[in-house]
Amino acid sequence: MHVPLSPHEVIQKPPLPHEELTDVIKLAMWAGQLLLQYGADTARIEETIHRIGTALGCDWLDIIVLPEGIIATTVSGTEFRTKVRRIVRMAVNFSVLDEINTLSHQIVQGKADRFTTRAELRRISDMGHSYNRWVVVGMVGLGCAALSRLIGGDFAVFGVTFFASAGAMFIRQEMLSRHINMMVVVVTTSFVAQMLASVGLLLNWGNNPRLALAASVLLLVPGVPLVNSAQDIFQGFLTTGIARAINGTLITLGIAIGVVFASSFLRLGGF
Amino acid sequence: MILFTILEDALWSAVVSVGFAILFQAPRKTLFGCAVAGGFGHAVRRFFITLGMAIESATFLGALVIGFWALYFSRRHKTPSTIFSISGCIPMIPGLTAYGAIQSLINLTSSTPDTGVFIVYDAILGLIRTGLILMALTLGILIPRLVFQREKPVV
Repeated sequence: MHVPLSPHEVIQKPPLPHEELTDVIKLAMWAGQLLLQYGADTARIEETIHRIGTALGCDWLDIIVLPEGIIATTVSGTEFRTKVRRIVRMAVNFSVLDEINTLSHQIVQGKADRFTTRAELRRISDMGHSYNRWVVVGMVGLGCAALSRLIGGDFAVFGVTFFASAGAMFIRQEMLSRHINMMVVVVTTSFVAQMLASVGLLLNWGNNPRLALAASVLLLVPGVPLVNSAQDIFQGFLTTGIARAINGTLITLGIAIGVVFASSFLRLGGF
Repeated sequence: MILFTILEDALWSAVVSVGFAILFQAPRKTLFGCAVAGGFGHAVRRFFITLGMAIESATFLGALVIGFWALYFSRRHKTPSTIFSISGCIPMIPGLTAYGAIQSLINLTSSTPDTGVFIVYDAILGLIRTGLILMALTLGILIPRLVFQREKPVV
């Protein structure tokens, strides 16, 4: 199959009117911005922007994804538009990635035009959380508690870990909803998890109370940045890959700082 | 007996995967896939560890299994495969090893030259092992995707 190498080879589409061209780049980059904000890998972001832009009538798009934003140019006939879109937050929300993926396929199949695309993107932007916050607190507690079973704890350790990580998750949600700096949130959450889990150490519950201390901070592990970073670097997106690796390392260091703080407190009590 | 250990292992790691999938706000239809990927991956790792394989290689094999399950579920539900692979690999995160390494580093501040040598050994070993397991994990879940999910390049 012949893959077009430059914009000049693909001029079979009719050129778009000015306001439509402006609209297309706006919509394509909106989708890209949502993907970058909520934890997609760089290849997916580029592909999605390109797919939406060309399906809505552009001839070609050139896209650069940076850790803090996206730069793109759409080309249609002899006209072009360039735009920068900055991300406004960093979070993980897989539901958004799923919805944008579905939307981009609908656009390619011709089931969504510019107007339905805008309505859908508005809905996805305003979607919020798919789970009630207490469900998240409970399930994260249960997840960390199950991790403590996997590393060899008994049911007393299980209970302490559940209590500690659910409490830490609650504190984390409270801090995140008050827009506190990400690193402060990580250090504080890790510290709180350690202090709550040390109850088991204090009362000497379970076969090895230290396992609860190790398992309760795992709700903070930067799984998404680290996996995305490896994937970006393997696919040649070094800028975003390195930025995400540094982000993941910083979060890991933040967890360690919380642990160190907590254990120097516990040492005062003779542990 | 060994079968029972592995089944229990799979059950708990499925719980871990679902818990973290919910933390990452994964769509409801994907939760079952996350549980299957996480459960199978960790059970495979436990199986090879009981056979006597080193934890790093066993992690790589477990992560490969997660990667293939993630591809299967991503095609079935028409959704990004990262949802399944990231949630599935959380049970294999070397949390205890990393925690032990940090504890050794803290203990180093209150050690004498005699005991310090062993503490440094522990800390460095823990850090290296953590790094190797993490690398095996990410490589394992990426390889199936990079090999079998090549779309025709659009950019």
